[in-house]
Amino acid sequence: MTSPVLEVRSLDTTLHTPDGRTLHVLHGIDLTIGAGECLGVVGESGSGKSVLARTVLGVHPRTTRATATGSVLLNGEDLLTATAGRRAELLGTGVAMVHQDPMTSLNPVVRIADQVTESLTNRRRMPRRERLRTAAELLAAVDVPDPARRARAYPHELSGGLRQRVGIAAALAGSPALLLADEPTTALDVTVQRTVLDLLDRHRETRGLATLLITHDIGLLYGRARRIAVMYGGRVVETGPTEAVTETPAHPYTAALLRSVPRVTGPLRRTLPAVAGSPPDLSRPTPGCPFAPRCERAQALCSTDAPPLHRAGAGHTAACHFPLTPSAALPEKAEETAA
Amino acid sequence: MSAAETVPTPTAPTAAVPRKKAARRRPSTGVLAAGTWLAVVALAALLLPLLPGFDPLHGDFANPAAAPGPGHWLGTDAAGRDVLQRTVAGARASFTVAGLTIAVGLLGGGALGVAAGWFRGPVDKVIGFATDLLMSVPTLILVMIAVSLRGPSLSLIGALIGLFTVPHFTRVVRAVVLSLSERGFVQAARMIGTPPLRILRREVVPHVAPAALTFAFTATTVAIVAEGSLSFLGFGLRPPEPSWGGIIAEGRTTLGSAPWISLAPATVLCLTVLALNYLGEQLRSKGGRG
Repeated sequence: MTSPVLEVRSLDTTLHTPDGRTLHVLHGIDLTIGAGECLGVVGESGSGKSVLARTVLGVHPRTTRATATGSVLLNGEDLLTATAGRRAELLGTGVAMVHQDPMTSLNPVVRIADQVTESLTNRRRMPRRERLRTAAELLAAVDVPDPARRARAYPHELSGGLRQRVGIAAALAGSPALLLADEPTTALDVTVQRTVLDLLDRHRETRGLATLLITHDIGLLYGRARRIAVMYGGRVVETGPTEAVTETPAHPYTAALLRSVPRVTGPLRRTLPAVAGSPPDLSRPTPGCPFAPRCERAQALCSTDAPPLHRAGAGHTAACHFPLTPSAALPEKAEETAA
Repeated sequence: MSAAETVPTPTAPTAAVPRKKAARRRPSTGVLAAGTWLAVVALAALLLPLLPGFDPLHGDFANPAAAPGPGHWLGTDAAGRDVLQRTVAGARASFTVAGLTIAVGLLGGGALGVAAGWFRGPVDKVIGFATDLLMSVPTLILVMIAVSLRGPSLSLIGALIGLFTVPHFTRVVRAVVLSLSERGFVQAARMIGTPPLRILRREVVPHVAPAALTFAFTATTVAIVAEGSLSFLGFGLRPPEPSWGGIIAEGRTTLGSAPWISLAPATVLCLTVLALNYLGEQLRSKGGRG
């Protein structure tokens, strides 16, 4: 494999909220995404998925101060140690974001053309005619019908699905190497979800775009993400090839998450199993496994000692004291290179 | 989303929703009346002084304190000057002061409010303290002191009243900027590397403008009333020069025998303030959440 586009190594992020609380949100995150590859990040609300994306971008809410340690390498360049100017340069052109809610991420008083081309006009002046033409091309690339007319429109004239396409076009405008998609389809209805995801797949393949697809819907990643990282309590609790993680989950949390996905087959009326309890309170860190209080396999050891990395298969690891699958026979050291 | 653009349903059971839709296209009677009144006052103040024979300082000594009638539609004052002409000319003083007030208030308050809301933290604290301080100053008394020191001038009065509206503009603008800076599209702009000044110009200012302009209506009425009060108390223009407060003051001694002298400018002042407040209120209820 060629050198990865994004390489996150032992990333820790701490947020200082305006009300004076300190939240240790991310713990030792390790991720790798190659060109044209899609990594799915799954986890429930508060698992740190969005903070992960924001840390990669280095953009947090203005009221929040964030400190990050570890490294975030974009094409080998560490974003955490880069100067503010260099980071600003890379935003839009190196790494771009597709937002969760296209209703709020577009400015209601700015024409579509000007929003789609924003990452370009941030860098150089562009006459109106060129902005309209470039925007129409970008909109056509994301299958917006009648792109020339839509470029002149305002966001309120577009449907939710079209707006999300506009958001994708705006993210692609700067030809980034890495695309962060933070729940890009959560605000859309199911039929539109599929077309938007297919669109992202198409651009990932044709442009060799590395994609980080954040979602709370593990089912959405089947056949799209080559690899999955399951996040819980600010940690990657399990990571591996999509098939391995979904078919033979090693971490009890992944297994619980998979059980709670509604199935088309089986009895019509039944209670959908839910993961009991609620996610951990980030302002009160625990020494052991964050999932221990909700885990059915948990023992005394789990709430006192941090779980070791368990090797479940080729490139498939889980952080658990009592994993669901037997250890693979490969040596521990090998996973550094395989992951 | 597109509901607002659809044709209003003629058989709608409740009046509230369709009325709002209709109001989008056609101003209501109240808005029309208020707008017409302001236009009449403004046009009269601008155009009537150009007519030959218009001289608010000329006294018709044959007819002092004459009742309204042909020749002098609103009567004359104790010196035989035409009350209508003086009232029309007096609008100039009110509007000059109001214009200056808005200019100073909008620019100063807008800049401070954007700075306070955007940078927060210490900047916000310093600006907040300064505006609180300014708000605790008794405005009229300070303007009177300034006028007695520097002599009456409309620009001095306008600038000072404007200065005292700055804290109010600051608060209005700051509140909008605070809520804006966490809105999705502002964050989205930051995430594609848009420089802060461009974000302010493109994402923040257009959303602040409606609230600030709505408040400008209120500030205008404050300025007009303040100028009237100052003139009434003798701290406005020097007496032969007409201003609404001044004319009211001149007429108050003959209120029993010649009430029109005070009533004409007082009525015009009241209606103007009422119209401005009404328009401001309508704007607030229509586009307040803009």
